[in-house]
Amino acid sequence: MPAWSQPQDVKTWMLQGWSFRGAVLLLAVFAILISEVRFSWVEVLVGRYLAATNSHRPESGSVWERGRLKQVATQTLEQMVTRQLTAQREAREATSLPELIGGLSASQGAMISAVHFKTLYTRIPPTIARTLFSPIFMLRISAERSWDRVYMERENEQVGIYLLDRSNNVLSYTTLSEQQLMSTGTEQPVVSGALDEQPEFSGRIYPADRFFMVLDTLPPETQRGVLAQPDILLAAEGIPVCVGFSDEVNADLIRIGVEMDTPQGRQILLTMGQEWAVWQVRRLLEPRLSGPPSRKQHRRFGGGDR
Amino acid sequence: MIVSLRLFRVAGALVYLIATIVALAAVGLFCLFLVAVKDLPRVPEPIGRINDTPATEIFSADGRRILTIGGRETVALDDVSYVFIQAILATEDHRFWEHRGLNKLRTVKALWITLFEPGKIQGASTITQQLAKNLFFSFERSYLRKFRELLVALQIEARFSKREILETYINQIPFGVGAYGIGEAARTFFGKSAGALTLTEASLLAGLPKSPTRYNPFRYPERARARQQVVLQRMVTAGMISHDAAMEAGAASVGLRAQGRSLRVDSYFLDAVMKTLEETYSPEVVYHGGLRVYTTLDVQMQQHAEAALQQGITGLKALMGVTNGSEDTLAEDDNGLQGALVAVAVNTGAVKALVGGRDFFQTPYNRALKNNRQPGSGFKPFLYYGVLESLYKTPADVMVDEPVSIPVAGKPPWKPRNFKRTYEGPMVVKKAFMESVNTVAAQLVAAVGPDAVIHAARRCGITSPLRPVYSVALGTFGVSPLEMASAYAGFASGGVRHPPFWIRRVEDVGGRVLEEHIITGERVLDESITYQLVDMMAGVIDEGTGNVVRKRGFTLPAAGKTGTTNDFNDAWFTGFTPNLSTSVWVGFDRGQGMRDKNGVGITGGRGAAPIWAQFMRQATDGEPPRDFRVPADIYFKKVNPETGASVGFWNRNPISVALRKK
Repeated sequence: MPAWSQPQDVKTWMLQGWSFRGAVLLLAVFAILISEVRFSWVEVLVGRYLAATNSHRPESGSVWERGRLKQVATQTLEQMVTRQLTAQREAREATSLPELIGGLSASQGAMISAVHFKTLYTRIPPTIARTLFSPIFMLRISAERSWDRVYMERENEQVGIYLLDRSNNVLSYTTLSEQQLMSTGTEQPVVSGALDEQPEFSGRIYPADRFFMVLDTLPPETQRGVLAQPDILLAAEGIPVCVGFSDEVNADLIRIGVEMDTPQGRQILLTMGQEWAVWQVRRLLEPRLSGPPSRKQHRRFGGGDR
Repeated sequence: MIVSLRLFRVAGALVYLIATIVALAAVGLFCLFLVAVKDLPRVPEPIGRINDTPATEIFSADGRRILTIGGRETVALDDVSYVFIQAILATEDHRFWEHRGLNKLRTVKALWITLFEPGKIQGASTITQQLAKNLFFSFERSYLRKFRELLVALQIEARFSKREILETYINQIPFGVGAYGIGEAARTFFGKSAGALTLTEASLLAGLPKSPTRYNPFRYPERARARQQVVLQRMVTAGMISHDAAMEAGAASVGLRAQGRSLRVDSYFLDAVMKTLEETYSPEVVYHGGLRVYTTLDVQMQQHAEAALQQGITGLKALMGVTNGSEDTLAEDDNGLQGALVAVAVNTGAVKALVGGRDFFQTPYNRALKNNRQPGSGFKPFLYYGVLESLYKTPADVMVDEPVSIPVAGKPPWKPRNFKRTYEGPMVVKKAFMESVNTVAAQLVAAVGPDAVIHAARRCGITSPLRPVYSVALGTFGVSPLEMASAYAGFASGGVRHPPFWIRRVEDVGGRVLEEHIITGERVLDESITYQLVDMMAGVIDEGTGNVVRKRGFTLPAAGKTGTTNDFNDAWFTGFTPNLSTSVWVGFDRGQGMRDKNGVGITGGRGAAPIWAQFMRQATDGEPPRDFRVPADIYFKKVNPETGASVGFWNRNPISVALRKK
C-alpha cells in the first residue's frame, strides 16, 4: 500500500516535485555540462592552473632526463678538453724535454710540433740525444717535409715518443725508461742495475771481453758505427762486465747497453750503434746468424719507416 | 497507481542516482587531480628546446657524413609538406585544431570499450597527449599515468599555440630506422626535404609512427603499403582529399630512396664504431654530447663489400637449393645463410669495409667481430710460419701425405684426414700448403708443437682464446673475420703488424680534437720467412684451393688461404694484395652444414673465395699491379713438386719456391 502522502497521478506528482530552486539548479547543471562540452573550460582552467604552477614542479620525465644527460655529457667533454688543452699548453711551454716528460700524466699524452721537439732535442746532452733519434734521420725527415708532429705518452713505466707525419703515420718511434728519464737532462745516460734485468736486451747479452775482442778485429769504420764515442765509455767509472743489444731498431740505430761493475754496484751505460755495424759484431759473436734481423729479434718501428 | 507514474518515479530515482554518480566522479576526479598534480613534471619553455641536443656525427674516410645521432633537425611547420600535415592529423588526431588537449567524445568511447568490452583496448590520445607522453612518461600502462599525461597535455594546450604543439610533435616522433622527426624521416626514406613530400610519400610516412618497426617500409613493404591505405582512407573520411586522389596516391609507386638501404649497409661498421665510442667516452657523451667522429670507412668499398656478400650468398643459396620461401619458414632464431666480410688496409690497419651479416636490421649480431667461428685451414699460415721459423724447413722440403696417427697423452691418438679422403704420397711443403693437405699439417704441428703455432698467431694479432693442442693448427678455435683480415695484413706487409682501427679522429662540437689514431707498425715476423709464406699463399690463389679467384677474373698479385670446417659449417677465404687484406666467412649462425643440391659440401674455395674475388676486383679496380716486395736474401727455384729436386726446362709442372740464401 502506497503512503497516503504519495501523489496518485502524474500531474500531482509533477506539481509536488516542481520547485523554482530545483529548476534553476537543473538548468544550471545542464548549462555547465553543455558549456563544458562546447567551450572545454574545465580543460582550460586546469591547464592554466598547471601552467601557473609550472615553475614549482619537479624537472622529471624523459625530456628532463635527456637534458641532464646532455649536461653530464657537456661537463665530461669540457673536462676532457680542458685536461687536453692544459697538457698541450704545458707541453708547448716546456723548455726542456725532462720538463715536458715530467708533465705527462698516465692517461694524457702530449702532441707538440716537430719544430718544438727539435728545439728541446738540441737542449739535451748529445749522449742522451743519440739514444733517442739519430740527428741525421731527423734532418732527413725534415728535409723531406714528411715530419710534422711529435706525440709523447706514458706506456707502462716508459715514455713513448712518436715522430709523426701529417697523416699520423709513425716515421720513427722510441721509448725512454723511467730510469733513463731520471738521467735525462744533465747526467750521463746511466741506469742502475744489470742488463739481464732489462727485457729489451734479453737474449742479446755478451761478455764484455768477447765483445771488445770482436770489435777490435773490425775495421775502424765499423768500430765507429758501433761505438761512436768510446772515450765516454773509457772515462766512465768501473769495469765493463757485459754488453747487450736492444731488440728495437730505430731509424737504423740500435741501443747498446754496457754493464759496468762500479763501487756503487752494477750500472748500465747506454749508447746507440748503427744497425749495420752492430750486425757485424753480432755475426762474429753468434756465427749461426745468417742475416739481419735475427729470428729472435723483435724489431719495432713506425709504419712509414719501411 | 498508474504505470506512467511508476515510470516517472523510476526516472526520478535514476536522475538522483546519476547525479550522485556524477558528483562522486567529480569528487573522485578532484581527488585524483590532487594526487596526480603532486609530482607532475615541469614543462620546459619554450617547448621546442627538446630538440636542442647537439648531434654526434660520424664521417667516412673521405669526409662524407654517414650517420647523425641525436641533435634532431627541427623543421618549421611552414617548411613541411601540407599533405603530410593533413595525413598525420587525419591519422593521429583529426580534431586537433578543435580540442583543448582532450577529445572528449573519443575518450568516452574508448573508456566504454576498455571497460565494457573485455580484451579490447581503445586508444584516444590526442597529438598533445602523445607529445606529453613522449616528453615525460614511460610506456608503463596505468590509469594514473594516463591521467597525468592528460594533465600535462592540458597545460601544454593552455600554454602553447596549436602550431607550436604540432611543430614540436612532428619534429620528435619516431619513424623507425633511427629517423626521428619528419625532416630526418623524409631524407632517410625518400632522400628529399620534408617540404617536398608528395601525397603518396606523406601518407606512407604518416602511417609509420603507430609502429615504426612493424611498418618499416624497407623490411615490410606490404605492411607499410597497407597502412598507407588506412591513412589515405582516413584523409578521405576527414574530407581532406577526394576519393580519387586517395586511389591515385595509393596506386602510385612509393619510390623509397634507392640509397636508403645502402646508406644503412654500413650499420655493422657503425655498430663497431658506436661500441668503441661508448667504451671510450660513455654513452652520455656519445648520444648527448655531440661528437665529430672521423672513421676509416671507404663508402664505395663498403658498398662493394655489401653487394659482393649479398650476391655471393644469393648464389650459394641457389646452389644449395634454398629458396626465399623456404627461408621464410625458418625458426625465429635462425637467420638463414649468413656471411661477413672485413677489408683492412695493409700499411695502416685501417678498416676500410666491414659487413657483419646480410641485413643489420634483421640480425644486428656482428659476425665480423665475433670470434666464435673456426677458421679451419685458414689458420695453417701460422703453422707454416712457425715451421719455417723454428724447424728451419723450406718450401722445397719433402713431406709425405699419408694417413697419420699422432699420439696424444691420456687421449686417443689424433688422426686428422684430408678433405679429399685421398693421399698423394711425397710432396714438397709448398704443394702441401697450396692443396691444404691436413696430414702434412698434422705432421708439422706434431714436430713444431702447438705453442709455436699459437706464438705466430699471437704475434700477428690473433687475440681469441687458443689452447695448445695439435688441432689448433687446423683452425679448431674460433676467431673473427676482423682478426683474420688483420693478421693476414701482417703477412702482406712483410711481417709488420698494424693493429686494426676504425676511428681516425674524434672532435667535440667545437672542433677541438679529443683523440687521434697514431698509425703504428711493429715488426712481428721475419721479413724473409714471411715472404716465403706469402709466396706459398700466392700459390693457393694461382694454382691451389683458391684458384677460383683467378677464374673469377681477379688478376692482381695476391695471396690467400681457404678454410673449411667439419661438416662444412664454415667456409672462409682470407687473402690480400700488397695494399688490402680481406677476410670472408659464410655459414649458418646455428652451424648447419652447407651442401649443394647434390649433397656436395661447400668449401672455402667454393663458398667464400668467389665473394672475395668479386669484392677485391671492384675494390682494386684501376689499381696498377704491384708485386709483393722480395727481400734481398730471397731467391727462386723451380723444383719437382714430389721430390723437391731442382728441375730443368724439360720437366713438366715444376713448382717455383722462394728460398732464403744461407
